[in-house]
Amino acid sequence: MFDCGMHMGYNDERRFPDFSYISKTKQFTKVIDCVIITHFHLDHCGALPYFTEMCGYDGPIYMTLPTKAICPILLEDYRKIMVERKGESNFFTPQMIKDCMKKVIPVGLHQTVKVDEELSIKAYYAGHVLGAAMFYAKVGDESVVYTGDYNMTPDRHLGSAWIDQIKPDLLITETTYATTIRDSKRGRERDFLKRVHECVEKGGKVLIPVFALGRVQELCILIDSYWEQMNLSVPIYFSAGLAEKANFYYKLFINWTNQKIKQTFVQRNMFDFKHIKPFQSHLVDAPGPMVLFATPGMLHAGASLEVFKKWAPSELNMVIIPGYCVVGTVGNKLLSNTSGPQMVEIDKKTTLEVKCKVHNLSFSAHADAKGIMQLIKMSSPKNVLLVHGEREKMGFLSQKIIKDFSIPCYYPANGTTVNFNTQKPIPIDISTKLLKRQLVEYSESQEQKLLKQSQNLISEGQETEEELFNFNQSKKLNSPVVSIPMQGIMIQRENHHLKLLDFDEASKELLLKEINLDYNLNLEIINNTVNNNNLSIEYLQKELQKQLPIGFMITRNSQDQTILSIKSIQIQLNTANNILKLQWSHKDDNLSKILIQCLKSLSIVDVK
Amino acid sequence: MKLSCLGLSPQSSCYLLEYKNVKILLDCGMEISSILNYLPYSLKTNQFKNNNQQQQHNNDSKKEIPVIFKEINNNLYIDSNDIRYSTILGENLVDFETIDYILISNYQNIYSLPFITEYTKFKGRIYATEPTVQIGKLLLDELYQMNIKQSRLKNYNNNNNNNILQSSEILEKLYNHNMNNNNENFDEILKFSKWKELYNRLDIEKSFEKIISVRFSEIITVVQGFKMVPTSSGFTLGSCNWLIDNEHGDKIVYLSDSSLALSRYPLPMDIESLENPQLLIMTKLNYHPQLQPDEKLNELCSQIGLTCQQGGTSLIPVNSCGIVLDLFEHIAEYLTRLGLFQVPIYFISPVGKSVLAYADLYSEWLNKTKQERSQMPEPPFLHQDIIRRGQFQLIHQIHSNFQPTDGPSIQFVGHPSLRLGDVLQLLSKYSDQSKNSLFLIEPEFDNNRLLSPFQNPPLQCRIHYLPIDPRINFSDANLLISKLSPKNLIIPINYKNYIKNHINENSNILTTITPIQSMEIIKISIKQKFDRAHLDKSIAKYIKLNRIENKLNSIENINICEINGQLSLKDNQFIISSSNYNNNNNNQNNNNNIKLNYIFNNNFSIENLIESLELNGFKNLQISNNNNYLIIKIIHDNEEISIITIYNNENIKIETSKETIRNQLTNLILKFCIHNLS
Repeated sequence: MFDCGMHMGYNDERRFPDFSYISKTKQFTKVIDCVIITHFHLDHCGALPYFTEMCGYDGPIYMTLPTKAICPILLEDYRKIMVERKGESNFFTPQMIKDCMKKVIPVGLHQTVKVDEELSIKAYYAGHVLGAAMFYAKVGDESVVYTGDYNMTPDRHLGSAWIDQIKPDLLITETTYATTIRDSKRGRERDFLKRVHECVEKGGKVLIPVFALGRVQELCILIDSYWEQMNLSVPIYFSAGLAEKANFYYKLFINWTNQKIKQTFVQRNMFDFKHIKPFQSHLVDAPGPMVLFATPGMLHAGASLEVFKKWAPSELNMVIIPGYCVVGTVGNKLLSNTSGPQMVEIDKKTTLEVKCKVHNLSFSAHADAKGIMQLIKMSSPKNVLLVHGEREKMGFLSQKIIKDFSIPCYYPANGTTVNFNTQKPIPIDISTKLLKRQLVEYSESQEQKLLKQSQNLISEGQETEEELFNFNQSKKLNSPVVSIPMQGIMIQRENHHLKLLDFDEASKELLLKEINLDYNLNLEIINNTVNNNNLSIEYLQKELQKQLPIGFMITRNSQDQTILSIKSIQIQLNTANNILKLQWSHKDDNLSKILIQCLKSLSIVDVK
Repeated sequence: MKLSCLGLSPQSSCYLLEYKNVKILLDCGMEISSILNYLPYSLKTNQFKNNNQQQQHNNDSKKEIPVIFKEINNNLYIDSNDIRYSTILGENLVDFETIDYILISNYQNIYSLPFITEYTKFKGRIYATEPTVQIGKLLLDELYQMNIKQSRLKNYNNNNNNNILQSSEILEKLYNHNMNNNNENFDEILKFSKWKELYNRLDIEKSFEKIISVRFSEIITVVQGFKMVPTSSGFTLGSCNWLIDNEHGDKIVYLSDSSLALSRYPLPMDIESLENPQLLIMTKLNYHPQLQPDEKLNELCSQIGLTCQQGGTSLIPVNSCGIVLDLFEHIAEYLTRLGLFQVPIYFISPVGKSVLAYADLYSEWLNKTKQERSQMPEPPFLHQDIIRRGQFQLIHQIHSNFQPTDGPSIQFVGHPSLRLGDVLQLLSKYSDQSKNSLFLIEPEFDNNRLLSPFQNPPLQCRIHYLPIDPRINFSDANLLISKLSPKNLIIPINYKNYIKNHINENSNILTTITPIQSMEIIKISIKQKFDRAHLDKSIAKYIKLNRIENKLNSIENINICEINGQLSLKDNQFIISSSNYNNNNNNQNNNNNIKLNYIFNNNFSIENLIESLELNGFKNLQISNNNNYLIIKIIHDNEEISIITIYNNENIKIETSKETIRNQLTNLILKFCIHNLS
């Protein structure tokens, strides 16, 4: 099971996944081999304590170490808002979060973890937030990659997602920005800083609703260095509680940030901010300009919403929403109309007149359409499945994927099942002995082929520069071996791998005795003038060699010069008795048939 | 499979493994203890008498010969501040260009890497864990800094050293004079051994850029059909053992520095993944196997305590990463318990700050307690806390501003060889008072050799030789061997009297032990019988299985069939496909694929054959038996004769003068045989 998130737009049972799709009888541990959490955002891990502590899943859970560290904090934060502020009762408790996290097994990047005999998983860097990972899962010869959320462009604090060309059967990718191609990062950063700077110059207050961990650290680095550079003194605050702790995580898990931060951290840790101070609640009503980062990011509850209520009625102020907001949240309502003043429903009882400026800056670290295509190219999957996006946009993107990569692409609705056919080569254990024999035979025949070609050139006295050049070219062309012939006996036994053996090995394995069948054929030489006058062992050798396929060399027997041999075949010319004696063993029967055909076409013997 | 030993001793661990035509260099350490042959620069060298006899060999010129050798206690020392380093042996022996991989087990075994990557034609890939790369780079840089600082000191003998020190005669003299060497191929070693000037900073930089960082259990797939995997060895930050493995049970384990001590900071050793190897290469065991590291640690603490109570300074020469990561927390806690929390601990090292900063980042590579601290979130090590309390100070290097308190203090400083680094300055400062203590705790240096140059004046401070070596000792090693139950075991020859043959209780495997020494090459036959390949669609759809009976087990079904296709290598996998597939530009190659024929006996017997011959019109048969040969003479109607000779039902020979008859007879025999199953 990849991820176990919650839907932030709902406040009823729809916020958790409908696990009855997996098992109607709640036998989750039986059905699911393991749960993998890609990163700490609640839409990816929010339902985990519910699933393990309230639904009863008891199998292994995997996540990266930063995710394991940060996830419980966000869960607890959210739980507090739901239970203590909204008075929810049917919700997991702090103890449940603790118990759930105890079961989590941390995985390192690129570490291959064997979940059980069949299933292995491996994490890749995803860059979306601290500790975010994509997961590769493999069972037998079938494999799938699940991206979680990822980012293909490095930012100020994280690197970009990367994966091997692992050719999974299926790539499941998020498509938050399925059709967006975002302009350059630098431009967006400048835009953001310009807006903030303009607003505070006029004495306005800037509210930036954020999640405590993730984008906010990038924005902090950005704004902190801008303040330093421009020598500004307008206070910047970070809503207390989570904030300091959050930055500490970044200091501890600096290995998961980008190269630049990693290299300089001993001298100067980028997460020790110079201008950003913790926020105290009385500062909400303080006069004068300020910049405030406050949680949560979608303005659905908590400090950011409280501050928003106070600041929204003044047109001097500004709200910058740097991320994506789920339908139903205040953030989403604000973003649906950013043109001017509007009335926004905060909850069923309260409506607020919003006069402040509202901006959405796409700082949320998801891959855009280009990035998604890049990841598909990088991993070379055989099928693609789009998730975590809007239906129309996914439809558009899937067309593009099908067109560009010629691979099937799906974007199923929630609650539907997609089946994939995987075509896998059949694994077979090939005997090393057979492999060696075939290699040796191949290289020998290649050598003889070259030898023959060179001999032909020399013997026929047509050695021109051009021909020599051609010959050398062909030599070069021959050098990279693309494939070699392979002939052997395949054996299938119960409870064994398929095996491919050489004949003698197969005979041992199967307790079948090999029979050596040899032939001795005495052929009468046809009585004709050519034969009578010209037939000699040299003539025979030369004529036969011409007709044989390339790679077979006829040699004179070193002891008895009247015998020609090729593989197990021996040809002896006995002109006195007018007999051509052929000897061979059955394994070379096919070759001997070719040879006899040659003899016949030369009108040396008559074969009836 | 072939293994050559290119290290002079386990200290400069280096092996060349040749497996499946792939050459893998396992570690490339440096014989760091060879610098003990130098005199510490801080000593006034004219105190020692020159050994003029020793210089006869190189006095080919009449010019003044540099005063290079000094003799102390019958040991020869080189009196120069321009130190040369003893690296691995292979240079004239191995063609580094042909080496495909270098695998590093931990940062102690990486000191010769810049020599290989920057001074040979090596162009393969290098793998090491992330902390090994990071810390290793710091440590090499530290050695470089110490070395350059020392060689820049104004001194005397620097001019002609180069030629002299590279001469094997000098090495030979040193070896013969100073070591009781019992290595049989000592002469060989001398021939290939060479002391070298240390690499420079750029070399280190460029060399380390070439390393590919890996993590524990990350699988590196090799085209030749095997994989290489690093697994935790529990010895130090990111230290690993290497597993070389394929799907067919060829399993080679290279076990380098490993530790089973559970209370230490690294992630514990992963033993399970190493079980049942075909070959175990076990090197770098404990330097002091008879000592208990825990006892030595306790003694170290109590002696430091005593020294502090007497108002003395404890000087502890150490490597800047390694056992110190255990010591700082432990000693700080011990002192606090004694009420000595005001005694400052100094860590004097140009890379100390970075080492501690990195150590706090690598929580994934640390033991469970430390991992859990990082999730709180708190730094896994307590160093920052101790620093904040004012008990612990990091000093980049000793300079005029460094004013340690007059009272008791504890000073960790490099280099542990007492031949390099700030330790020499501190030693001359503190060694003249008996209230101070010198603790020699790094295990790879011999006590006597460390101290013997410091004779005049003799050291007044107390000296405690307390080597703390967390590596597995011989009895651990023997237990480990019986648990891992390797078929073959290769150990450095130094260990041969301590490592015993085992019969593993579970697997009943008797381990064959082969000792290896420098320059030796050992061949081990790992009988790999199979390689993994895949049948692709083009051939799989034509396969027709033929069921045959199992002669031993009539219940089991066996299906066989002949495969006749072509084998190619694609995405690191052998693929068998149909011969007609994808051969448009390769027609020529396939012409010489003339199928071989095979015949297996199914129910062939002489009786069957004779009956069949008669049924098929060969009536006139003469059968004779001659010395196990059965000869069937077939007299044809035209009085021509064909002969079938049968020996032992396995060798059959048909002799005839007509191809048609031969065909007929062959078919009669094949009827009783299994053949042509494609």
